[in-house]
Amino acid sequence: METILKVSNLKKNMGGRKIIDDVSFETYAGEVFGFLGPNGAGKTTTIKMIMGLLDIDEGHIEICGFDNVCHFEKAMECVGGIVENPETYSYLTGMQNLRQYKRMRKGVTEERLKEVVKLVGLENRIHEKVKRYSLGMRQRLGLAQAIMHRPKLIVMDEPTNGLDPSGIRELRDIFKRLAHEEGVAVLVSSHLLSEMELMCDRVGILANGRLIGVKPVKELIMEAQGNQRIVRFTVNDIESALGILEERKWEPFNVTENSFNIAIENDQQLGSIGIALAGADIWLLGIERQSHNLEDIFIEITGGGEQIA
Amino acid sequence: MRKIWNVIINEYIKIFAKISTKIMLICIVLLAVLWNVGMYFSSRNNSYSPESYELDFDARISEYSGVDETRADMYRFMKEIGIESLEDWRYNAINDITYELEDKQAPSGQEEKSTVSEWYKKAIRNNDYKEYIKLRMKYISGNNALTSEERGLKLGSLQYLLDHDIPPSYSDYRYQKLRNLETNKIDLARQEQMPLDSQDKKTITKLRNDIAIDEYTLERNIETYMVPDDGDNYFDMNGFLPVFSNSTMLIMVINVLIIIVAGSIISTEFSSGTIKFLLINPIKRWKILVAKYLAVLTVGIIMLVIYYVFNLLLAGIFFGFGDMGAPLLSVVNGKVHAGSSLLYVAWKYILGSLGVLTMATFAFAVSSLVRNSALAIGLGTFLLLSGYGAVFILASGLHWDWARYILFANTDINMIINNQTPFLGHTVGFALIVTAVYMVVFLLTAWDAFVRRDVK
Repeated sequence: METILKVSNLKKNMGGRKIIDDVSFETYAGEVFGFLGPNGAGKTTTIKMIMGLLDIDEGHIEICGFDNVCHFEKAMECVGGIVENPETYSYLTGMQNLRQYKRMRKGVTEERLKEVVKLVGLENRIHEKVKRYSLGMRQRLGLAQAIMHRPKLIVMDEPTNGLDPSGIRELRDIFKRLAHEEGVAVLVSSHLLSEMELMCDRVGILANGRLIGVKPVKELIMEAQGNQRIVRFTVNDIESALGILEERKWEPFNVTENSFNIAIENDQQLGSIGIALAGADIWLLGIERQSHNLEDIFIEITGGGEQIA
Repeated sequence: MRKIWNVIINEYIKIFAKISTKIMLICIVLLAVLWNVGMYFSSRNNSYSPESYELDFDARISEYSGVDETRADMYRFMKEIGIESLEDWRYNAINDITYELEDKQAPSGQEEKSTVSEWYKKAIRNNDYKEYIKLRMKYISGNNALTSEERGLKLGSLQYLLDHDIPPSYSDYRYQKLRNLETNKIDLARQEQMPLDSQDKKTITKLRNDIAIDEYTLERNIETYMVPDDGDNYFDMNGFLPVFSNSTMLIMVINVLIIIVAGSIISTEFSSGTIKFLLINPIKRWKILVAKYLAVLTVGIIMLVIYYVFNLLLAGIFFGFGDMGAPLLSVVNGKVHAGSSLLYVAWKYILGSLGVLTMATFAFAVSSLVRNSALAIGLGTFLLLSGYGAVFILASGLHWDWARYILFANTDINMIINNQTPFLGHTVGFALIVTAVYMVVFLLTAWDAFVRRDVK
């Protein structure tokens, strides 16, 4: 696999504090790499160093083989992205904003601009002044800005901010297509593990300026959960259901007036709970796997519970 | 270079897409309109003449009769021959002879005062200025109160009037010039007769230059012309050229406008967050800085050009384009050189633009340093407006000579050329060197702040 971004032993101090402490990782062509961590972990700082906005105290960043300090222009030709919010020149139209970037980059034609505008779904509003855009539309414009010059590496800082659910899904599809079909390396930062799970191939977890681990996202979730799964049952008669559970020594928790959770070891157990309840003439109104639990795992891993906004 | 050029185009699009820039350009045009309209109306008020008062002969006669009979008689005579304008040569002539005949000394030695007076009056009645001039020549050549030089000068200019058919009226610029020449030459002779150590070199040079220019213009029939760096020496203060030339005084306003442009060009990128999108392009930061600086400088020049063109047009519309080709006359080593007045005014604009460019550089550096547009514009305008005042107070009030090293003492080159600064021996060369040093400091500051500092 071709290495697109190589970060080695990155360090950054600000105001006497170690903001980034010895971070090293690589991203490869054709993958979506998630940068996961609570707010203040150093995600944006690392991204700003990759994009050349912050000086590097120690360590190196190579993009497509070019050091982004010594060969800044060569390195930046391979990158596109959004750092923090998608800021725009609000007194220009969307198209005028894009043309600003077109002039500063190599090989972007008017046709290419039309193509990316269509890709991000802004073709109806692109000639309007940006000050009338919603946050989601500005996010789309930022995305068009990031991909117009067909970069090898796309860096997106919290890209789903301000997008509605369908916008998030579209964005996810765009990233996946760019990575898996066009061989682009996509670096996405987020503090939401659930979002990462759907979008990323690999995840690096950052906490307090240190990279705790880099793993494929599925492996991470499996590992964190162990073999236990938590399942929520919704029933019509909670009293009888709790009685049956007590008989069989299954321990429910988070009990409400018509539902309860149970930690399940394996599939057989899930099956026997169902049969037991049905046998007692209790209606099973719903059985669902609990996903909010992932956030608990995330907090457990990063130890940064108090820092989550 | 191509990258810098593209960034300059981007900056231009951003600058001119802003409503504030459009308002600024309108302000510049309005400034030119205001200046010319103001000068036009003030010139009309100034040309209010004492005509209605002086030509109200009945009122004048009743004012003077019994108090000053000579003057009352003078007005009676004017009424009799029916003078209708102060530009009538006879008005001056009657005034002149009245005062001269009042003189205690005998006018000619041969004839009685009354006889001379009758001759004069006859010539004036007949509206025959040649006869009048001849009489004056006769009278002057017999006047022993004058030195032989003075007599020669006066006779010479009267002969000139005769030879060129010029009536002795101030409405004719040649008559004015001849009179100027007379008095200047007499002054000069007086100065030169003084002992060497009490001669005023400056006055003598000025008299000589004035005489050279008057002779030059008289010889070539040049009515309108400009003299460089001498605000009060125009033929007509409210003509096309002086109004156009003095419009440079309001370049100060463009200083403030360029501070707004330069003060926001970097800082708004920071305050709006767009700097993060500007700097992630494959263009080194110093190139972006250079492009932004060049954009600011050229916008300043565009503002000046707009101001220049509108002043040229408006001054032409209000005062007539006729004087556009008037020459610029300067005296070098006693010889008169003729140049173009339009080019001279353009040169004054270029000198005025040095101040604009300096202020632009200053605000640019502040903009890069504080990264906050309101602060950059506010600080720039405050320092600009208080700077000149502070320099003046330090220099004139406290007599601190080192104040000449303050930037604001050196930005207005036109003021230094006209010797209007409070410092002794303040030369243009000095001002340029001081300004250059400040510019270098400003640019290094901007460079350091923009290229090296983190973008948070």
